[in-house]
Amino acid sequence: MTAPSGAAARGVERRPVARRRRRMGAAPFLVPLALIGLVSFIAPLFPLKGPNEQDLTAILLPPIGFGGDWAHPLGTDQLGRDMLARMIHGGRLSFQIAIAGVVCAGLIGATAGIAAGYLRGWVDVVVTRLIDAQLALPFLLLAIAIIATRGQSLPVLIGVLAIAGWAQYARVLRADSLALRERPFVTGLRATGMSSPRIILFHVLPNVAPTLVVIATLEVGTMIIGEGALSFLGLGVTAPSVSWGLMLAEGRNYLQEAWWLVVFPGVAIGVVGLLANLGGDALRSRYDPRKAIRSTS
Amino acid sequence: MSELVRVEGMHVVYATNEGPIVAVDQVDLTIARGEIVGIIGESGSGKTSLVRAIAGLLGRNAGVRRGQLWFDGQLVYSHGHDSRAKLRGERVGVVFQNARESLDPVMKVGAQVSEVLRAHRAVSRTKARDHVLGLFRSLGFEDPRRVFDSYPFQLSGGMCQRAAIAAAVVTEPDLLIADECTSALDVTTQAEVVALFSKVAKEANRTLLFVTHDILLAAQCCTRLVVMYAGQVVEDGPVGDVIGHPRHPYTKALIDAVPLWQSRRQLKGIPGSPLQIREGEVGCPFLARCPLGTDRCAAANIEWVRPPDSHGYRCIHPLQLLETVA
Amino acid sequence: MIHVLSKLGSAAVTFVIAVSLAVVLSSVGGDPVANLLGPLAPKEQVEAERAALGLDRPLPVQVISTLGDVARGDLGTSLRYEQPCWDIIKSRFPQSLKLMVFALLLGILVGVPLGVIAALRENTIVDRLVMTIALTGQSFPLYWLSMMAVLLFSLKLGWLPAGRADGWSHIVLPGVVLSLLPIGRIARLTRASMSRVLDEDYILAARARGLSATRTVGIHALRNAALPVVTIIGLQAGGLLSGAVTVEVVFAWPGLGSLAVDAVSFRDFKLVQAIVIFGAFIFVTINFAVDVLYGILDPRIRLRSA
Repeated sequence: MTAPSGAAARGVERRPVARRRRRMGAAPFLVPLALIGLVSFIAPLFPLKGPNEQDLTAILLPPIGFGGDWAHPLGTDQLGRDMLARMIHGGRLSFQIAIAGVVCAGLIGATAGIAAGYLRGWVDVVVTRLIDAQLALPFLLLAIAIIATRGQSLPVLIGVLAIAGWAQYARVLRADSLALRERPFVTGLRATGMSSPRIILFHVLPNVAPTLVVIATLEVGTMIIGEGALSFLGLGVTAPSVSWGLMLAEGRNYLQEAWWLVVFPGVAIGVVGLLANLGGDALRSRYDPRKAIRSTS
Repeated sequence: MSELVRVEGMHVVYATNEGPIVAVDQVDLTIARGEIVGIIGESGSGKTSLVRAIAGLLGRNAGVRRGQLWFDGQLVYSHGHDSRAKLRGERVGVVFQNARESLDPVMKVGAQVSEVLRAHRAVSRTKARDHVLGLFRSLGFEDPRRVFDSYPFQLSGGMCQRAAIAAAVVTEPDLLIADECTSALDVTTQAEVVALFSKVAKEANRTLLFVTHDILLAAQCCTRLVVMYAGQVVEDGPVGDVIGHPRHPYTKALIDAVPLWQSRRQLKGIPGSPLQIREGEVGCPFLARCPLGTDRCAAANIEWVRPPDSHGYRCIHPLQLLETVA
Repeated sequence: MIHVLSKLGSAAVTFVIAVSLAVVLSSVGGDPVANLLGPLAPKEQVEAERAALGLDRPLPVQVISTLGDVARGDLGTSLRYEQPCWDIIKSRFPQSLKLMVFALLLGILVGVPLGVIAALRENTIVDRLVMTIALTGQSFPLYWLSMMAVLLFSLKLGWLPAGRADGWSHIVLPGVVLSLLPIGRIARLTRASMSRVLDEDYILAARARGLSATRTVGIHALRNAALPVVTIIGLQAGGLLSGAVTVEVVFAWPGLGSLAVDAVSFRDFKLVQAIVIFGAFIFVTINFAVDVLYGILDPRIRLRSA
């Protein structure tokens, strides 16, 4: 009833007033992100040159503004392939892999996390230990180990990303489910004899869905960077496919004379990562301002 | 008795998402040295904002639009001038509602009180420690040394309260502000804390501002009561007069709302909830909840009435002197 | 004391499970030997090699056997170098360690002040600027930033060398690039933690008691805000190990990361597995140390016996 004296060094009275705050929505970040993804997905519809069309008479041409022309707005690489086409097609594959990774990691992680948080008992113990163990294994090193034994292929790549990512979902959703379990309405449902699977499916899941979306958004960035890293090391996508990471690997040798081979794909990955992070943060502060304290990843 | 605090036209406005809200509405108040004044009101009445404005503890989104503040004859706040920071901890001490929360959880209690002393006086660490131990003893700690070396989480709520009081009075300030210190306590502890504040004030002839929503609790230790509503002072007078013959309907309602064990009187709540005032609003803010309200009350701002018996009020139809508390 | 022992036990269990997980993940379904010897190798040779490496045993046996080996300090033998993996790792680890420590120190020295400044100027331009920079460092891939650093500072401007690891000047570029990750995370967490602490009653009380802003923020606020940040430092170790891989590759830094990448191209999965196990060990150890440190720093944990 009385106003708590929880006021700040900056001297804000908690009650009866709200602090003037400009809350930025998530849209400014998510919309461009979605646009980038969309553009790359409908890439084949564009009247572009193919990403693998070589033209050895036009190798290492600079982009527009640096000596190039509109025939190749983003320049060409060492085999005369058009950079714009490669960027768009590369984005397509990178996004596809990233989203596949997000979905797989999300499915595994959400299942494990919700089961652990809601069912508790030995399930919780096992899952928690697995999460800790997973987080103890450094992503890139583990990925390298798996690829070393399993060989290189698209399923392996997606699998590796999923293995790297599931623990994030599991950890957070476990905490959420745990808290949800103690809420009165859940206790009430249990008292009516509703079976656990039903409760999880119809009551827990919808409540943790926003958190799931937040993590998924953040993970899109992580996955794109991860795929980029693996392809860069030669362990991910291989020619003749094209992804941003692979473009980085191929362009690395020409770093000094043809910077555009490396700058464009790198900036693309970075921008996507940035948008994903900012969008995820904005979503998180909208759904639960208190959780905005936890830093990303 | 000389004048210690003079507030003139203090006006505090908070910026919110819904626009500016007036927390303190052009308040004039004078406190003399040695007075023990109870500042009474519900939450949102502006009592906390007022005392924090005196101590200079309001924050960035609180604008003190107008007003002047004198402390011990010196102008410490006015348009373009603010030297309240020099008073803090030196001549004005504040004790907050949640004592444990007002202490740094990772620093020993004794060190926290010492550092206040050493921030304002040039004393060595050992001298400060001795002084603080003595202060602890006088505040009722049986084992001052143990308390000195303890962390807040190791002490009970009551002990934390004493420690917080120690931190506030260690520099022997002229003015002590108790900001809702009893609100979260049970009745027995409340009485102890009130007694402690009373002792701390009287022993040093220190001026005490006792901020609370509990008018009868304040009456136990205060000599004067100032009742606030919606940022305005609505009644101000000697404690016996205000309790015995309240003049403002709000004061009477506050008194009636407190359960008394002895009487079988019905508990009367006050209907409605406190208002948030916006700039430029006219009329009596209590009108909506007042049983005596008329159209005249809404027409214009109510003026302050100061009769010769020093029991002032802000109402155009004050309760008659015949009315007494049941 | 019991507290510490239980944490040690927990750390050990996590390590054991991590090793098991690593073995399982890298063995299930794939055939490393076939990869190693190539598709043209005769079947008998593949079978023989498999048996020699112990890969024909059932999975649980492999796991337990590996755990047993690790407990004795045996991380297997490199297929390529034909030396004990541990020896190879031992020779390359110090370089990675140098890089990681440099990056972590920089992360703390730059990240914490940035976070504090952002929290003190919350919601102002300074805050948004600092946080955007921090986030950018986290979002842009390290392998690209490394290349840009090489391009700009080494090739174009010639200020700093890249490649190889002798001399102090060589550590600057890769170290700074690698530090962008911890700087970002530590700055963000410090800001959040500091922001929360600055809202606490004891900070207002410190102000009311007339303590200087320096003291209030530098001692009372910072000491309380730093506690959650300390726990993050443990998690940074994992991120740095991964980050170091690409940074080492770009800068030709002779550490464990580049060793692992090298090993893969030779299909030396034994060495890679050994590096993974070692990495997990480092992570678990650092986290355990951080846990214990936290318990010492926070008196509420240190002194609460029951």
